[in-house]
Amino acid sequence: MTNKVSGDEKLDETQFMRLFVQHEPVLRCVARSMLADWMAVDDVLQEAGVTMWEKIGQLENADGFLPWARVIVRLKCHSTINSSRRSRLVLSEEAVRLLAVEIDSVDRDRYEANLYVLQGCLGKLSMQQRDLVLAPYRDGIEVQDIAARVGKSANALYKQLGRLRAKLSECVERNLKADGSGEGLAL
Amino acid sequence: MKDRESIHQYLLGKTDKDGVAHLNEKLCADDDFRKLFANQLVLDCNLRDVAGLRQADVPISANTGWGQHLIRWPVIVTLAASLLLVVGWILFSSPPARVATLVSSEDAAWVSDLPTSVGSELPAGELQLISGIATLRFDSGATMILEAPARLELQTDMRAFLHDGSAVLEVSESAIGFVVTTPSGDAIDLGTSFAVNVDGAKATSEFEVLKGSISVGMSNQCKRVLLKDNEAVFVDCFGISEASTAEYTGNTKQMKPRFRIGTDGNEATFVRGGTSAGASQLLMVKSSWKNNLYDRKAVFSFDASGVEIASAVAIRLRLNQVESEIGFANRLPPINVFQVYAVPNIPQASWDRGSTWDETPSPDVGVLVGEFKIPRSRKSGECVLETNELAEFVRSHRDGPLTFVVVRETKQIPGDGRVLVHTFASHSHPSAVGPTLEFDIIDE
Repeated sequence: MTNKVSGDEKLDETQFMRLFVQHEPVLRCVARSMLADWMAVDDVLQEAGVTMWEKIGQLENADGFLPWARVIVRLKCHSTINSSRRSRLVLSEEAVRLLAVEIDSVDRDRYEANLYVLQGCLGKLSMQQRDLVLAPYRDGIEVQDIAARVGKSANALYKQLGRLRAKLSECVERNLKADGSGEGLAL
Repeated sequence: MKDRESIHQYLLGKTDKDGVAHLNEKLCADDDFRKLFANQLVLDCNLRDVAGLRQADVPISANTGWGQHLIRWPVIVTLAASLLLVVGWILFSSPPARVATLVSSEDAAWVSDLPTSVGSELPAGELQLISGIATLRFDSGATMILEAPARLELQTDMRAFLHDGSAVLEVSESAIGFVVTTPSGDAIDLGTSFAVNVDGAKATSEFEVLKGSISVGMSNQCKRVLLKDNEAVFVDCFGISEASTAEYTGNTKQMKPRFRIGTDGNEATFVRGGTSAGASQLLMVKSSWKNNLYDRKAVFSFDASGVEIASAVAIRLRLNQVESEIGFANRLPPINVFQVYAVPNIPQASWDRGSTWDETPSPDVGVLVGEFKIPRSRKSGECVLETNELAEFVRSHRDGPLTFVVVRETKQIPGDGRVLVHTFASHSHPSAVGPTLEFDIIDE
């Protein structure tokens, strides 16, 4: 793929799409750091993708795609937040600004390394635990429904969910640290 | 830990104004909290990717092999459709959901939400082969012969995760680069046929090349080993070591001594609103749609005081399903889920076959230690539970009786007619073994 793009040498559709596909998970995470609602995150990504294509001429080279795309995603998030600020369930501007420093350290390699380790950690859970952990991200499945099915209160299940997420998070952190130390994947 | 909780609540949409105010305060004041928040955000995004993948969104690999890149197609397709309005091109058409096809099945019994009849097109998802042998052909050209018992996760047409069990892979040229991941490592095929054998409980795997070559690596490590014809390795949490490829020699696997205990008659079936029911050689479970509750539960206890539980490296509960003569299986969903609850601090003397439903241990006071599934078509067979929760419970309650309750979570299909009651052998069953707690003991 051509790295340099300037003047008449614009990225073509395939090149742009490939860059977008490569960095889309990280960009989604950037939007997620500002928006509490996954549907809003998906809308922002979609709008941001269109805007990126419209403004592709601004991009100096393919290597600069991620920082440039982060700016566009953040601008889109800001306009979404401005229309929902009154809900008060959004993070403050200052918090988002400070958090951005941490979020910008997440690149594709780090994201994928986390994802890879997470898959191993998920494999250590029972099928029922995995279903519970993934339920909040699945269309048409509510934790409340699962609670009713297994005869537990939604609150109890959310607590279990919190414990499982903490366990997974610790597993990922531990195994990322153990990378290269000869330790195996432990939950 | 409280910090982590507040972040989870926010990410799960369970926070309130005070919660957000707390997060804002911490994010502005505390560097470490910001790092923690960023890590939890990445986890949240990763989990969503995995959920998308498992929900049969077709994933793609942007780069092959070691670091897989999982993309949710719908977002890409939506974006492509949006771009279409701007630049007027179509880059993507709807991708097929199929990852593999089930091409043959020899006495195979499955537990799966995926279709399991021969010829079925299989999307990404999980399959459990309870018995028999099945052959799957991936769209990439790789063929997998799976041997029961096995748990396989189809991920893409170039990738599968074998959680447990054995499989032999035949990989054509078009599928070179096919990846089989296991709990302890992975094998990237370089044009070959190879076998993999996974012990999910111990997180160990053996890879053996039958012909050709494969590259084997450990989870989360960059070091890889190249294997050629007839070479084999064993992979566990300590590393990759050479394994024997000799015909069965009787010592290729170190068998650990096993110790088994039964209920010794401390068991009964209880009917809601009544006392114990049915023949004493059977333990029965049933749930009904009318009250949305289980209405027969099996209760049994073990006395493990004679077992050196501290030396046990694996603990499992075995139940034997035996043919039921009560009710009709067609009133059940195709797959039935059974939950096993461990009930702590119940003195043996506090219940017996004469106790009433309310006097006997119940899930409300228990801890869920695992579940198993039985297809409605299966009339008999073994059910094995081996979970961390079970081991944890047994280890922490070794001094008292270990009491368990089994209930059927799956409800009958609404309508008239008697639904099948699932029956398991009790201690006094004439031909099948009753509930058994099994311990693998370290050989000192």
